Amino acid sequence: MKRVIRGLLVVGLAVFMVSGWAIAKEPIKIGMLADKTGGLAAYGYSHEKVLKAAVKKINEEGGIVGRPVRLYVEDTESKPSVGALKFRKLVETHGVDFVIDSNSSGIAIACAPVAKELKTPYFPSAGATEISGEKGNRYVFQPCTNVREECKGAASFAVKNIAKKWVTVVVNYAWGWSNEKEFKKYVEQKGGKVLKSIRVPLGTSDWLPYLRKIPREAEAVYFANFGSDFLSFIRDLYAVRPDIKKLGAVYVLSAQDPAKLGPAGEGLYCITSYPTRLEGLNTEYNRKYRSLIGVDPEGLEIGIGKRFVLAYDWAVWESMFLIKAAIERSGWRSRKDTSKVIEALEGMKFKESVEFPQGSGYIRAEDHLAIVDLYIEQIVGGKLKVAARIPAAKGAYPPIVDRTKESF
Amino acid sequence: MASEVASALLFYLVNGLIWGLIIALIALGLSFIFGVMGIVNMAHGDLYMLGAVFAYWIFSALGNFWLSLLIVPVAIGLLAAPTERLILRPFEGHPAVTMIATAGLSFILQQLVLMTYGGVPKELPMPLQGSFDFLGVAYPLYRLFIAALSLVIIASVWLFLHRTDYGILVRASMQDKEIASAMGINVNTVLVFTFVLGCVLAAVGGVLAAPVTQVFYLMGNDVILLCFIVVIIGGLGSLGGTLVAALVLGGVEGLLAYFLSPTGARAAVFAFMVGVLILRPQGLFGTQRG
Amino acid sequence: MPRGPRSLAMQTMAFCIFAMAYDLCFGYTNQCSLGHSVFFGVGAYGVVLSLLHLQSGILLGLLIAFVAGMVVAFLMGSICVRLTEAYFVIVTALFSAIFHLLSLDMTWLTGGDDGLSVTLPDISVGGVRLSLYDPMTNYYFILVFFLASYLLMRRITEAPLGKVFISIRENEKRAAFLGYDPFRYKLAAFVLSGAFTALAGSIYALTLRYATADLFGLYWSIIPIVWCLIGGVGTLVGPCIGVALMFFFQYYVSAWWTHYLILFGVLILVILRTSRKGLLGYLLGR
Repeated sequence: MKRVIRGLLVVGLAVFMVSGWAIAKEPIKIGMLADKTGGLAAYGYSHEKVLKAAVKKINEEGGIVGRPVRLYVEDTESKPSVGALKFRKLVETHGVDFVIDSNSSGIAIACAPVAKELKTPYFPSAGATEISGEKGNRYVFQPCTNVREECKGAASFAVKNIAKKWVTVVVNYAWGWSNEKEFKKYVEQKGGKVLKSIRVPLGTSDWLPYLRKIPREAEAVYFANFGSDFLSFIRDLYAVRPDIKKLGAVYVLSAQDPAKLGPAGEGLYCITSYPTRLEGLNTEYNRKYRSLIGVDPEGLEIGIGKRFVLAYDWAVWESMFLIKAAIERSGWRSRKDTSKVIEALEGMKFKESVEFPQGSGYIRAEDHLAIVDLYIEQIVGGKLKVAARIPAAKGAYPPIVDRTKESF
Repeated sequence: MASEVASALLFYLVNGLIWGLIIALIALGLSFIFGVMGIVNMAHGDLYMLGAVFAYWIFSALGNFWLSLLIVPVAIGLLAAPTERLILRPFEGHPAVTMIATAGLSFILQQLVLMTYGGVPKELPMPLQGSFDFLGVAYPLYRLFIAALSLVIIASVWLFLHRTDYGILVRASMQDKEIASAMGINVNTVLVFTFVLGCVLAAVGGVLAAPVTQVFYLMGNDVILLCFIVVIIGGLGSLGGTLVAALVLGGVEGLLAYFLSPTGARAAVFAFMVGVLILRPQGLFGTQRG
Repeated sequence: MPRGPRSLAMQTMAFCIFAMAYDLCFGYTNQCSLGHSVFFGVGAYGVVLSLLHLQSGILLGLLIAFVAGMVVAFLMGSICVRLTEAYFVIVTALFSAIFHLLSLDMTWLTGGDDGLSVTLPDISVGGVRLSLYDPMTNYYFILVFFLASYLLMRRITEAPLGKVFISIRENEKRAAFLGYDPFRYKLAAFVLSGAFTALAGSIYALTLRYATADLFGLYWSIIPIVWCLIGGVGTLVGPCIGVALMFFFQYYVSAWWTHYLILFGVLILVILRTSRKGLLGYLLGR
C-alpha cells in the first residue's frame, strides 16, 4: 500500500514539475503591426527585420525569465482600417500580450483605443505628438521621439547655428502640419522667426510653384517630407534658391543616398534620433546592434547592398527590450499582470547598451514618451556627418497629460 | 507689384501646362483603350509606373536613360499584346467587368513590382542637365524637353491615324467595329494593336516622368483618376479633346495653386469639371454620347 | 464564439451592408457609381461627429448618419443620375475625389488622414443599458442591423419598386414607354443605395471607434464593385459572398503571403472569366 502511495506521490510530483516546467516554458507572445505593403512598405520591411533580430537575440540568450518569445507579424497595408483589424487579429486570434509598431501615426491613433479595449500594451514607432497626448491612453507608449520633442530639441541649434529667418515647407497632412506648428513655436521662443508656412500635397512631383513662394528674406528652410517628395523638393529648391540653408525633419533622409543629391544636398542639415552612419555614434553597443540587424557602417543592408531605412528602427528594437525589462522587474506572468508591467514601464530608466544602443534615457511616466538624446546630421562632401548631439533635456517638453492618474 | 503677380501667374501657368502635356500623353493611351475598346483600364496608371520602373532598371544595368525609350515600348508591347488577346478579350464591351478585371491586373502588377523593385522610392538622375532662367527660377531644361517630346509623340500619333493607311483602318475600327470587319479589316489585329499602342503611350509617359517624379510602386495611383477625367472631359472618341482637356486641367490647376491651398486647387478644378460635364455631357469635343 | 472569427464576422457584416447597398444601384439599376465612398465616409463621420460634438448617443447618431447619407445621395444623384454611363461613372468619381480632398484638408472637422477616434457611450434601450465594448453585445448589435438591412433591401427588390428597377436595368426605353420615368426610379435606387451605404459606414466606424478621411478615398469606391462582380451582381447575396472572399484573403492569406493580392487578382480574373454572374451565378448555375 505504502509503495503504491509513494509511487503515486512520485508520479504526482513529476507531473506537477513537468506541468510547472511547461507553464514556465510557455512562450511570451509578441505581435507586430508591420507596414509591409502600401505607402510605408520600405519601413515595414526594415522594422520587421530589426524586430526579428531582437527576438532572435533574446531567445538565444534564454528568453525572458526563461520563457521563449514568439513573434506574430501582420501587415497593416499602411492603412488605419486594416491596421486596426490586424491589431484585433493579433490579440484575439493569435493571443499576443504586447503589440509593437506601425510606423504610421494614423494607424497608431486608430489602434490606440483598441489597445485599451483589449488591455494590450502597445508600442507604435510613429512620431505624432498626439500619441503621447490627447489620442493616446495608458496602454499606449511612444518609444520613439515625437515631433514636438524633435522640434524643441533642434530649435536652439537651428537659431544659433543655421539662421534666424525661416520659412517652413511641409507636406499637406498631419505629420507635416505638426512639424510646421512645433517648429514655429520653438524657433520663435528661441529668438528666430518663421516668415511663411508653405504646404504642399503629398505626392507632388512639381515643387517649383510652391517653392517660388519662399520670401527672399528667408535665410533657411525647415522642411518635412520624405521619399519621392523629398527628392523632388530638394531638386526644385536648388533651382529656386540654391543659396538657402536647409534643415529637415526626422525621416526626410530615410533610405536616401546623400551622395546622389549632388550640390543640391550639400550642407543640408537634418534632425534625427539615430545617426545613419556608424561614425556618428561609434560605440561598441551600436556596432553590435548594427551587426545584429545586418547593417553596415554606411547604413546599407549587409549582403543586399540596399539602403536600409534606419530612422525609427532603434525604437522597434528598444521596445522589445523595454518589454523584457518590464516583465523582469514587475514579475509579469500573464495578461492578468498587465497593469504591473505598465507601472514598471512608467518612469523606467534605461542605460546605453546593446539593448538600448540609441543611448540612455527614460520613459516618462506621465505621457509614456521616450526621453532620449537627438542628433543633427549634416551632408558634408556627400556624406552624412553628425553636426551636433542634443541632450534629452533640451527636447523634453512639459507633459500634456498624466496617464498615471488614468485607470486601467 | 502687378508685374510680380503677373510673372508669378505666368510661371504657374506654364508649369501647369507642361504637366498637362505629360498627363495628355498618358491619357491619350487611355483614350485608345477606353474610347476604342471599351476597356475601363484601371491598370493604366500601373503601366505608367512600369515604364518608370523599367527605365530605372535599364539605367541601373546599362547606364543609359535614352535606351529606355527604345526598349520600354518593346517590353511593354510584349506584355500587353498577350494580355489583351488572352485575358481581356472576352470582357471587352462590358465596361464594369473590364474595370474589375483590370483592377485585378493592377493588384498583380503592383505586388510583382513590390516584390522585385521593392518598396523604397528611388531616384533616376535627370538625363539632361542644365537649366535656363525662367522668370527668376532656374527652370530645368529636362522639363521643357519632355513637354516637347510629348507634343512630338502626340502629333505623330495623330499623323499616323489620319495620314497612314493602317491608321485609317484603326480609325475605321474605332468608329464601328462591325462595319469595319464587314469591309474586310482584320479587327482582331487592330484591337491588339490599339491596346498595345495605348499601353506603350502610358509607359513612355512613365519613362519621361521618372527623373522628375521618382520611381515608386504605387506611383500609378497618382495619375489614374486624372487620366479618366481628362478622357471624359475631352470627350470620348476625340483624341484632340483629350489633349485640350489635359492642358486645361494642368493650366487651371497651376493657376489656382497660386491662390488656394494645394488640395483646394485640385478640388476646385474637379468641381469645375463637374460643371463642364453637366452643361456639356458629351465632353468638350465628344463625338459619342456616353 | 471564438474572439478572432467574431471580430472578423463583425467587420464582414458591416461591409456586407455596403455591398448589398451598392448592388441596389449597380446590380438592380445598372448604375456603375464610383462615388459611393462619399456615402461611406459621410456615414462614418456622421456617427462619429454626432457622438463627439452633439453627444447624441449611438442610435441617434446612426439615424443622423443614415439621413445624411440619404440627403447627400439625393443631391449628388440629382446631378449625376441623368448622365449616361461613362459620364455618370466619371462625375461620381469626381465627387468622391472632391470629398476626399476636402476631408483631407479640413482636419479641424475630420482629423484628416490621422482620423478621429471616439469613446462609445452606452446605449439605453427600454431601461436596459448596453455597451458596445462588450464583444457579444457588439456582435449582436451589428447582426441586427445586418439582418434588418438585408430584409429591407430584399423587400425593396421584390416589391413593385424593385421590379421597376429591374425593368429599367433590362431595357430603359421600354420601361419609359410603359410610363415609368427612368430618372425618378434610378434616382430612388441611387438614394436608397447611398442611405444604406452610409449606414454601413456608420456601423463600420462604430466597430473601429474611429473615422478617417481615407474612407472617402477611391479605394472604397472601387472595392464594392469588386465585391459585387466576383460574388454575383444583382442578387444581394452575391455581393456578400464577394465580401467574405476578399476578407478571407486579406485576413488569412495575407499572414501566409504578404503579396496575397496577386492571388486575389488572379482569382478575380478567373471568376470573371468563368461566370459573368460571379461566384454565386457559377454555384447556382451548376
